[in-house]
Amino acid sequence: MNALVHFRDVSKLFGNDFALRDVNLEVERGKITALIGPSGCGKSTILRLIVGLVVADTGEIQFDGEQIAPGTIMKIRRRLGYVIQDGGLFPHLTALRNLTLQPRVFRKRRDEIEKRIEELCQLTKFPNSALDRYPLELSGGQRQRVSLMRALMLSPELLLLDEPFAALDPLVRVNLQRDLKEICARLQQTVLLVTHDLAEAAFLGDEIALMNEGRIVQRGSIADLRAKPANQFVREFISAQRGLIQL
Amino acid sequence: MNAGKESRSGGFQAAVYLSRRLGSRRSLLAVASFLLSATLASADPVIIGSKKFTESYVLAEIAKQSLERAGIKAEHRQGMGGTIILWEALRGGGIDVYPEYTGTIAEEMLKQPGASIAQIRDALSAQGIAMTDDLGFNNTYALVMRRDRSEQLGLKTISDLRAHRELKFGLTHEFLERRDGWRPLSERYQLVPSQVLGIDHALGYAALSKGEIDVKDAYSTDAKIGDYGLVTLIDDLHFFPQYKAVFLYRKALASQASHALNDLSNSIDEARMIRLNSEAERTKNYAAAARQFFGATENASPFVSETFRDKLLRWVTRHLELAGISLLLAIIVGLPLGIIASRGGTIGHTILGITGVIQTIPSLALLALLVPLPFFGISARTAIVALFLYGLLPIVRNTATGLQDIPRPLRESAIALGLTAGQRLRKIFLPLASRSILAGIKTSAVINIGTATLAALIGAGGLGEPIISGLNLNDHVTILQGAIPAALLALLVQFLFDLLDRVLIPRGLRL
Repeated sequence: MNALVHFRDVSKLFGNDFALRDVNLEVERGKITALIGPSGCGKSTILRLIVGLVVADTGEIQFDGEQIAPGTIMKIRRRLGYVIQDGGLFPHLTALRNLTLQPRVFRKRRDEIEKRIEELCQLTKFPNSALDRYPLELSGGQRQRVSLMRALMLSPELLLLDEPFAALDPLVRVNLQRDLKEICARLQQTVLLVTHDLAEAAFLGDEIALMNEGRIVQRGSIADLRAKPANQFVREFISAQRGLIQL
Repeated sequence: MNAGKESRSGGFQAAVYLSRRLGSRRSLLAVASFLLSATLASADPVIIGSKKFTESYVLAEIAKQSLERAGIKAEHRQGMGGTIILWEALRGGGIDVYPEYTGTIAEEMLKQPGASIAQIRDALSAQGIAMTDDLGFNNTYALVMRRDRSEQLGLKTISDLRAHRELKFGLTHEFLERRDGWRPLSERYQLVPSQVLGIDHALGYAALSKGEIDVKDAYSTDAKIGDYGLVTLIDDLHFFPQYKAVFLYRKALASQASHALNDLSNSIDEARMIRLNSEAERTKNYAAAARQFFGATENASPFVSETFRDKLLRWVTRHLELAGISLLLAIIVGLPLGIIASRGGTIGHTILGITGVIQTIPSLALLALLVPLPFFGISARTAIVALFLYGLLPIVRNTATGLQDIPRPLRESAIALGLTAGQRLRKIFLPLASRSILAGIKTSAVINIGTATLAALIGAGGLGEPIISGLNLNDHVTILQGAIPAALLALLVQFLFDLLDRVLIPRGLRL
């Protein structure tokens, strides 16, 4: 039982529609788990349940042996890093202020904060000189680097990435994917990544979970999925995306 | 899941954010001390009220000078808005004395039409109010017309009007609603004119002289009747009750002061009153007209009339005081209400609904509602509260909208960082909504500068003072003395807030 996060028979309804249906999932420590599937398959809902932005209707979610519930969620959130598609940086704060907001609220020592920022700038290849810029003065790629740094500030046990590179142009995306892989390897970071891009999932994910209509359809490596598709949907999903890549 | 916590801390957080940004702790103290001083200051002088028409101003000045001659300090709150406001102020102790007419007392205040003087005295006494003997003249209501028009149609009495349905009536709003006013009058005389308009008293005279209306209500001692050469139609059915002028005063008034007032009874006849009114309107100086009553020989009195600069300074200072304090209160209350309203639901909709409804209450009506309440009465306090209520809506609405418009990804990022509801509000949501919130405050400020002119209706001063007395005198110059500075102030406030935007709206939001 080395998993950091456990989902047991978790279901979530939005109105009358199932967003998730009896999901069972483990996020292994030190690995990158990629959730992939078409839009609306429920993959983002899994991240939102862990952060406590939505609450499960049935089933149980555990983080490091502790159940995620209203009473525990505030403490658990401090152990998470969360990056979303357009970064979610606060436009009224400079890059630096976006980074220091959380550690200052949690009363980290100033020299520790400065040291951490120094480290993260190197790790994410973000130029120190751009720290005083506001989000609107940064490029899309730079914004995602700052967002990643913000998520890593307090050395979270789990990094949640929700389509972090979807809005970037392909060249920038490839660079960021490569850098992210390097960063996670160096930090031995546990990651749960949501993407709809099979190439990204294959490149970054140690383990892939393919979802459709609120269920996890198949889990394994990209090779497993390709060699032994569990059903017709898996076969179609993979061949559709492979077709694109080969073009 | 932290909604409960957030609602409890919302108001406090907003106040802290505001005080950090504006350094407003000192201003809060200023409000408190102002409210306190407004409560304490009313002990000394005898406060005389007057309604907003010339004769009332002049009689109040006569009372003031009579008291001063007896060595009693007196203060004149001039031109307050309507019978109900003065009556409630007198009962509540906001004023000590004001001139009134027996007909109005019986019909409007005591609701005992046709009561005798003795009956009136008894009824007033039960409410702690005393009445002087009549001052010597009867200022009853009358219907007046232009002389040429009445001669052309051969009209002499009110009954004669029955045959001329085409005549246009321009009547004051008060006359239209009074128990001894238009409705019973028209029933008694069976008048069914084709057109009856509600129009301000002073403006009505201008309309009458231009021929825009044919018949108007008037007071029989109005200076304008002589000035415009108007004809008073004879009340052939004896409809109008007696309107003998008297002073009403609080029984608690010192006997020395009540003697000084009672000395004035039977000292002014109709002709004299018309002369004094006409003098006041000609010189635009009520105090001077009142001095004439005591004999012009004494014009070497120590009284030095205020220069225009001093007056303007006094009006503007008071105006800013009223608008400023009410705005500050509206911010302190409106911001937390806006935060609560931003969450929607029944409470949110109720808050927005109530602040919206307040906005639709006409200002004079709002004042009339507030004046009888124990804490309020005739004071700057009442004006400030009315302005505060009018200032709420823009602030509440803009705060709520500003917070609701924050994109969901930003909201959720703030939650995911593990910040508490209060921290999110203070460090992220309020700054993000600052542009909208400031726009609301700016709207409130400009509205308040404009609306603060209503303070003059309850004798609280400000730039409304010259506007109201100018309306009463039909004197455009006097109106402009109030209206132009008020407009300039509004522009100045707008400009200052535009500067404030640059300080208070974070730079990242202005890119």
